[in-house]
Amino acid sequence: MNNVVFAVMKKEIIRIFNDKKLLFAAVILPGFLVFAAISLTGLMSDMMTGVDENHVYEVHAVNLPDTIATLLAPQELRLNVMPTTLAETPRIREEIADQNTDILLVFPPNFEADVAIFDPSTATEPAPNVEMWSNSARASSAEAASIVAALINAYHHSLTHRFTFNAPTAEVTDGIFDLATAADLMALLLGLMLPMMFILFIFTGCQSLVPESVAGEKERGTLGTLLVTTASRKQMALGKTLGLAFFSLLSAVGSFVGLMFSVGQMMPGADELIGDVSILEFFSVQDILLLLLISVSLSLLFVALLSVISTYSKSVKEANAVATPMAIVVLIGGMGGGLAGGTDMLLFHLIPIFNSSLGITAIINSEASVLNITVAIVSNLVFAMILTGVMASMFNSEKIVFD
Amino acid sequence: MKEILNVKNLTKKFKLTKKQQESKNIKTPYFAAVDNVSFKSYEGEVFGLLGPNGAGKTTTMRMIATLINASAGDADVNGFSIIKHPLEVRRNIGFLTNELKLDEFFTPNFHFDFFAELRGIPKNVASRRKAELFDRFGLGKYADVKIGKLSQGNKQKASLAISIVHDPAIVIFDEPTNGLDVVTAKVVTDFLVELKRSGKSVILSTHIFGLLENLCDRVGIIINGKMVACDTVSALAGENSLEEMFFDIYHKTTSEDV
Ligand SMILES: Nc1ncnc2c1ncn2[C@@H]1O[C@H](COP(=O)(O)OP(=O)(O)OP(=O)(O)O)[C@@H](O)[C@H]1O
Ligand SMILES: [Mg+2]
Repeated sequence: MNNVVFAVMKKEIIRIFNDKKLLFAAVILPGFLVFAAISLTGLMSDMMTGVDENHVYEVHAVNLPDTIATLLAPQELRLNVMPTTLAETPRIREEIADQNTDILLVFPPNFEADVAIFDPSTATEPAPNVEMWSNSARASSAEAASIVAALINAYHHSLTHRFTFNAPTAEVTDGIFDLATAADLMALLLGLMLPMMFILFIFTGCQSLVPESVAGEKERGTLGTLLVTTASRKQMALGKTLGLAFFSLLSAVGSFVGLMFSVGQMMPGADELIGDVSILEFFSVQDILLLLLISVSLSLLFVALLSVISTYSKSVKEANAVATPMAIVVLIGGMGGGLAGGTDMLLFHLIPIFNSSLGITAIINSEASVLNITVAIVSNLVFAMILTGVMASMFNSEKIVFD
Repeated sequence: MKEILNVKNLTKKFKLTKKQQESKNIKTPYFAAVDNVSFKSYEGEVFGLLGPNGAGKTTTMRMIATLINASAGDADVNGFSIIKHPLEVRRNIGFLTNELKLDEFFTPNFHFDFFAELRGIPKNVASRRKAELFDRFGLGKYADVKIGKLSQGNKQKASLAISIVHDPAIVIFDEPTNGLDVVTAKVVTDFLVELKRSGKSVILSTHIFGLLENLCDRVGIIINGKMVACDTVSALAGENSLEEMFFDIYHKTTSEDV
């Protein structure tokens, strides 16, 4: 690396390492807050929707094939499977909607025979479809649905897609067989809050570092001392950004670890299914890598953004005064992903912050698109670079440095 | 003698806010802090800039050091124009002022190495120079004490040493003895004489007449941004003291303005 960039970066890193308070606020606190905030919300949601450990789930089934019946049979699943008829389904669906029973499975007649002869490559008819009706507003219904869905999905896999599961039908065109009348507020809230909190805590981590360093340097009169040297403004800006980025990365990793540890607590029912949830079972290695890269790109972006704000400000106080409304923008952008949910519009993935929120939401929902997230990460990095360039040119402005 | 600095009609205009206009009692939105200032300084010479508060001394020095842009005019530093070759100018200049500070968190040792690195000075050259300068200023004991913990005097000595890591041909010192006790002030002024003897061109701003009389070969007097007199100390003062001469000129100039 270039000597000047390295020297400036090194100085920044040494300075922050020697400032215990700053180090704590920037690196330890955000991760801890992510964990605490998410755990607390998870706890609250458990308290509100919690299902008694010995609850036996009521599973109504039409035309239940023997193989599936065996799958659902194990005692520890606590599924009480009740065969029923097609004629009964309207009544049962009403009961589900009223939160009086858990789920309803509807298999086509002769399911096993149909599946056995179905060949996806030559078929003209749609594959046999299995419907599962549930109600996410009823916790036991949601849990039963997730357990049964996992089992059927595994079976589906082993049969190389010879039938479909909750495919759209004439009646249910969107393929949503969830009879929740009031959306499960807590789940929705979690979906919104998780990316938002994660992004916001990375931002606050940066905010505890950058104004103090950049505006502080102006305020203390040490910036001018740098500027009389032959080192280029660009190199100085880059060195400073990288030095700060080093810590904001630590801060992002802290938030990331906090997020990982709190994941098990935020998905009600998840632990029922897979026992003690380990991170690796929940996210694929690719998901974790993508999350980490999103955090990295975000922290670089925030450092650059806050550096520009701080260079423009006369004092640390002023920089923080501008950064606080920025935090609200970040908060809104962070919530956007959960609200917009799974959009594939490329344009959205170019919008910094919002794109990361989309990405994190997608990863949590196991719908991550590597392309979209790569676009988001690259976009964040490009914006960070542009802002660092802006900071460098601001160093050239005497108005900004000597006013 | 070789000409090191040639300041040519240097001018700095500041745009004023309404408030500043009122407080300075100026009608126009622009105000010339430095107005058409020209002077030269040579190798092995100390040039003094004398002027009351707000005369434009610091502003002139900042322009020469390329920290701020000139509104008009130019200056050549060791042959390099401050406008066309600011980088070369910075290579040839050492600038020390009270407003440019060292980071309180770091030691003189760290700072010296840091600034040597920023200026691209080879490590062995830098460490030899550090040993020399720290020895010269008796900073050895304090080399590893944080700047924030140093006394005012040691702070200034450290700043002085660090401002000339790169052994510049011209050193510009803005009120270098400000706030120092007589003992430390003497260390600083003695060092300025050494610099001059070693062939550097030293530009110095001060309010202290004694300093000018003892140290400076030539003096420029700036009042309200204008260079009103510029000559050797003896030619300027003549029979009188420099102080009497200054007030003479000061009253003449300011009464003309009013
Ligand atoms: N950035 C700025 N914007 C507006 N006016 C300025 C700016 N910098 C300096 N001035 C004004 O320019 C004038 C000259 O200031 P300067 O600091 O050069 O004076 P000086 O001779 O160094 O005074 P002192 O002896 O007090 O240090 C002053 O009136 C000052 O208020
Ligand atoms: Mg001054």
